[in-house]
Amino acid sequence: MAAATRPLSWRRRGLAASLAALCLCAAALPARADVWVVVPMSSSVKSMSQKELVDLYMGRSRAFPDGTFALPFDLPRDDPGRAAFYKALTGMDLAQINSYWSRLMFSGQTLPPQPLPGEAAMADLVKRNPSAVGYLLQEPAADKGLRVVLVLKSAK
Amino acid sequence: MIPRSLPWPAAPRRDAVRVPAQRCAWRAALCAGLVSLAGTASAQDVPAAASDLRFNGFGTLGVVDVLPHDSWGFRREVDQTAHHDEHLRADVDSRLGLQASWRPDPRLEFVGQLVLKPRAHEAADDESVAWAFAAWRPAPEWEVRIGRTSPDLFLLADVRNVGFAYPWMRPSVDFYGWMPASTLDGADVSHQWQLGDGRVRAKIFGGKTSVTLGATQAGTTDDHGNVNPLVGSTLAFDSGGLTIKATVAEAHTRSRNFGAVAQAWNGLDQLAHLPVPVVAEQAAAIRDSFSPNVWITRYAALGLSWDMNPWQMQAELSRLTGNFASSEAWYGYASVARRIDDVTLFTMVGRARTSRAPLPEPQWAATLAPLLGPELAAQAQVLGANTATQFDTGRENQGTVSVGARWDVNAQVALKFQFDAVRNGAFGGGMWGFNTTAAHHASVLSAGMDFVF
Repeated sequence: MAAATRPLSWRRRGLAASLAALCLCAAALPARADVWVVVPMSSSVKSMSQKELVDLYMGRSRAFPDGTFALPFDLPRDDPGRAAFYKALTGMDLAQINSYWSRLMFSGQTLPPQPLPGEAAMADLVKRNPSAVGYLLQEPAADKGLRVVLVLKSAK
Repeated sequence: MIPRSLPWPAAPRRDAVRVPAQRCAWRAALCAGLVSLAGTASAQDVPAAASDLRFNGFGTLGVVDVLPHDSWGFRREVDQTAHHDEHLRADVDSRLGLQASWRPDPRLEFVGQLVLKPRAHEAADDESVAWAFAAWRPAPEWEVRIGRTSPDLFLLADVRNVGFAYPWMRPSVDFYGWMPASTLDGADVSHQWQLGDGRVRAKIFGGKTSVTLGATQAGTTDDHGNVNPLVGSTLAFDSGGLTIKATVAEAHTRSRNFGAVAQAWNGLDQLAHLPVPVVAEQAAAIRDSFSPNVWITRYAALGLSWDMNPWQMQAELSRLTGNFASSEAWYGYASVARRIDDVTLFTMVGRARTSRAPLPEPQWAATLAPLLGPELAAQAQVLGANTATQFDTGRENQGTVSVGARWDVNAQVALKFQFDAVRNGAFGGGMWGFNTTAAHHASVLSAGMDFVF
């Protein structure tokens, strides 16, 4: 009997250990808040919906909800952070996004959001431009002069 | 919007065409500007302010094989020279586009674009300039563009040259192929507003353009036309992945060989008044197939697209009418595509049909000889036969079924393969060069690579 229960006992211990490890890993990960959409502290925009952000980043609108001109900024075309942002925002991958934007840009309708070299430049430029909106893959520190207006969850 | 063929008989052949010097100078200046902008494009890496300068491009390398290898020459647009070839052809889909854009302020934007592709032999150099405009946005909802833009006639706006923007090798030839005007020198004004969960965009546009249509029959030359004015308006609604767009437009076209056109019309008009009923009736029908004055064409279209990842559906229907018989036609297509990881499978059906019946083939020489003498009777026969042939070989009665696949190799390169089964009814091969009035079936095999940078 003991011989029969030992393996079960070991299995239970293994399962418990695995669950504990999973919990520890989950605690160490950010709470599925993968992309922080930011505007400068001087902006009149306090919050944005995902649809309003889609309209800005997909060229459907040129203005914030309050009617003022918006200046969206982007990461470089092949940046993994850009891929994560658009996947979370629209569910589309970069090839689809590039195909979509080539339709608008090369037909003279509008330009895609201006690409910046990286997140540091993004944070710096957004902070200094009252019309700007950008995104970061890490939560900005409170003293960075940026206001988080939307948090996009990572796409599965 | 303008005639698919500019009907005049026996157009004089010219061995060389001189491009006006000022057009060359304009193109050279624009090229220099683009190169200069390209040289400074790295400025975008250090964006100290909101000023935004970019240099981008797109292109397609494609090959086509058309079976059977007969006299019919496949083309995707009527501004191409159609020819038949027993080997793979790279001139149908291959093209390169270069674009420079400068946005010094959210309210102001300058765009220049060159599209280099095989065109009709006598096409002017400045037809390669696809865009050269300034856009001003006094408010986020308003936009005014002045310069060289595009007539906003289609659901795809004008991305016919940008293969990376759509799943197929080329937009539906049945729907898009007849339209020779791809640029508009003028202005447009657009306004957009929120409607429920969607947005409405309204636009009016107007201006002028010139077109060169590739020769379509042995012994003929390219056709030239000046379109002035070309005016229209669009109303579009976007909500999520749904887009509905309605367009109306009108164009007034004058052939650059207007004297020959008027001369042919007057000759047929005289024959239509002869006291020989059979000849008079046929001559009147042939005469009315084109206009001796400005050709007026009116265009109305409705398009719908639904992009609900991973499915994409798209359909358009358009009606063309005008003040001459060969202008009247229906065009339509529908497409369904499904994306599976990096591969998109698609199918498309298209249809083009000229409304008016074919013209009778005149047999006037024997009938008119006693009345006009053999020489004038022979001339009347040539005039009637050439004009009727021009109309009949320009008619469209074409249907296409396409299947294919697109593979996104990476975020900037896609490989494509497509098979088209094209069926033309009798007197329906107008989209083809060197066609006959017989019914025709063909298979078009295409492969290519689209890229953006």
